[in-house]
Amino acid sequence: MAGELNALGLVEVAAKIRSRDASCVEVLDAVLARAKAVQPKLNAFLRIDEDLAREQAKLYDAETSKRRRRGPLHGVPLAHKDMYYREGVPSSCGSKIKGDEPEKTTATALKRLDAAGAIQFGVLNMAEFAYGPTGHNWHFGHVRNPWNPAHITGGSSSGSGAAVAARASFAALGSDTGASIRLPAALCGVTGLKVTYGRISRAGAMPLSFSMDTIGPLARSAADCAALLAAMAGPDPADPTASGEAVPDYLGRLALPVKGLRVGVPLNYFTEDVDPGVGAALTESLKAIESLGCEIVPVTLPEMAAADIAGAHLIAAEAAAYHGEWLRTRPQDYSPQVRARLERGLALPATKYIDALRYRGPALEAFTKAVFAKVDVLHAPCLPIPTPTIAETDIGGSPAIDRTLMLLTKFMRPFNYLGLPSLALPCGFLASGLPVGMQLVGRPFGEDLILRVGHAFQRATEWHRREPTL
Amino acid sequence: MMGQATEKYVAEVLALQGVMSSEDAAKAIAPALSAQLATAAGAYASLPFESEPSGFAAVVAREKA
Repeated sequence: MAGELNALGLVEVAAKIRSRDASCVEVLDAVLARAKAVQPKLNAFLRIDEDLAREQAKLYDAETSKRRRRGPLHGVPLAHKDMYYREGVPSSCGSKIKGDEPEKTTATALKRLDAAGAIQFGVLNMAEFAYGPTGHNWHFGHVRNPWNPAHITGGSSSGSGAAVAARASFAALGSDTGASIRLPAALCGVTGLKVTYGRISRAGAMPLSFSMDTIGPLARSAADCAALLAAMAGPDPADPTASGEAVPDYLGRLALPVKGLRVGVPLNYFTEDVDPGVGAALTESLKAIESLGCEIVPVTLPEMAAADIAGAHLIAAEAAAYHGEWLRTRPQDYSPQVRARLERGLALPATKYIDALRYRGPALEAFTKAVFAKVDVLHAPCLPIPTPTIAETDIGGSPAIDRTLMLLTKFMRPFNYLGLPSLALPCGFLASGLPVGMQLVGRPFGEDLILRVGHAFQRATEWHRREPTL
Repeated sequence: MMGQATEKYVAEVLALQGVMSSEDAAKAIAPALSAQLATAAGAYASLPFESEPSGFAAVVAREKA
C-alpha cells in the first residue's frame, strides 16, 4: 500500500484521502518511509519533522471521520525549500549565517497551503541563500540527482527537485529568481512552474532579488502545479508586489481544449549551443504538441541576450545590497563561491543597475509584440546542454566553469527579467538516462494557458511518469 | 592593463563599502564583471531605455492596453 500511495501524484492522493481510500497517516507514512530511504543517497532533506507531522495527520484523520475537510489538499504531506519562514521555527536558507534563530512570521504561501489542508513534514536542501544554479551546498552537502548521483540537480531549489523526482514528497515549494525552479525541474525530470512576477505573495520568503523573485511549485505534473497555484495565488496585504489580478480556476481550465492554439517555436537565441540529444527531444515534443491539434508557428524573438544580462545585473545588485551587512561582518561564514558572487554585485556600477531597470519596459513590450501578437504560447528548451556532473561544476573543477554556469540559465533567466510565466516539464531522456526539459512561456498572468497546454502534453506522453531507480 | 584597472576598481569599491576582499577575490571578480559590462553595452543597443523605470505592474498594464 505504501509503495502504491507513494507513486501517486498530488491531485490523485488528495482524491484518495477525500474518498477515504487512504488515511492521512497512511499517506504520511508512505512518504516518510520513502524520504528516509532516499536521503542517504540524495541529501535532499535538511530536516524531517516526523512527530509533528504524524500528530497533525492523526488530527486530520479524526476530522475526516467527522466529515470535516480543511481544503482541497486535506492531509497531503509536503516538504519545502528551507527558505519559507514558519513562526517559531528556524530557516537555514541553505546557509550557516541564518543559524538557529526562530522566525517571527509565517510565509503567506505556507499559510495558504496550511489553510488548504496540506501538512508540512520537512524542509529541503537548497543552494546557499538561493544564489547558485547547480545544487552545490558547501555547508550541508551537495544534493544528488536521482537519475544519476554523480550529476547535479540544478539549483537553487535542488532538494525540491530531487525529493519530488524521488517520490519522497508529492510536491515542494521552490523559488525562481533566475531559473531556480525550472532548472531543477528540468534536470530532475519533474514539472516546475515559474509564475508571473506578483502572482504569488513573497511575504515571509527569503528575498534574493526583489525585482526578480517568484515563488512556485515543483510537482509531478502540470495538474499538480495547477492545484498548488490555486491554493497560493492572489493578493496579499503583506506583500505590496502581490498582484490583485483575478485568480482563474486553474484546475477547472486544464480540461479546456488546446486544439487550434498557436504554439511558437523560436528561430533564434534558443537555437544556440543546443546539444543534438536535447534538440531531438525538443523536436519530438513539438510533434506531440502538433498532434494535439495545436498550430506550430516559427517566431523570431527580439534581443534576448540583453534581457539575460539585465536580469543578471538586477540580481547581482539587489542580492549584494541585501547581504551587505553580513558581507561586512561575517564574510567568513559564506562559502567562497557564494561570497564571490555577492561581491561581484557590490562592484556593479549603480548606473548599470538603473539601466537594467529602465530597459525592462521596452524589453517586455518588444517581446510581447514579437511573440504574443503571433502565438498563444512559446515553446523552448529549458537549457541547451545535457546535465553536467557535480565535479564539472565545482568551482575550480573545470576551466570552462563560467561558460557552463551561463549555459545553465541563459534560456530561463530572461523570463524572470520579463516577468513572464513559464512551465518546465520533462519531454524526453538522453541516452545517458538523464531527463530533458522543455518550457512553455505565456503572457503575463497566463498561467492557466501554459498549464492547459502542459496538461494536454502530459496526457499524450509519459515522460513525467518515469521514476528514477534508487 | 584594463584587467588590472578593473581589479583595482573592484578591490577599492569593496573596501569603500567596508567589505574586506582579498586580492585574489578582486582578480576573480574582475574578468567576469568586465565581460558582463561589455556584453550589456552591446546588447542594450537594440532597444531604447525608458527615462525612468516604470515598474513591472505598470509595464503589464501598458502591455494589456
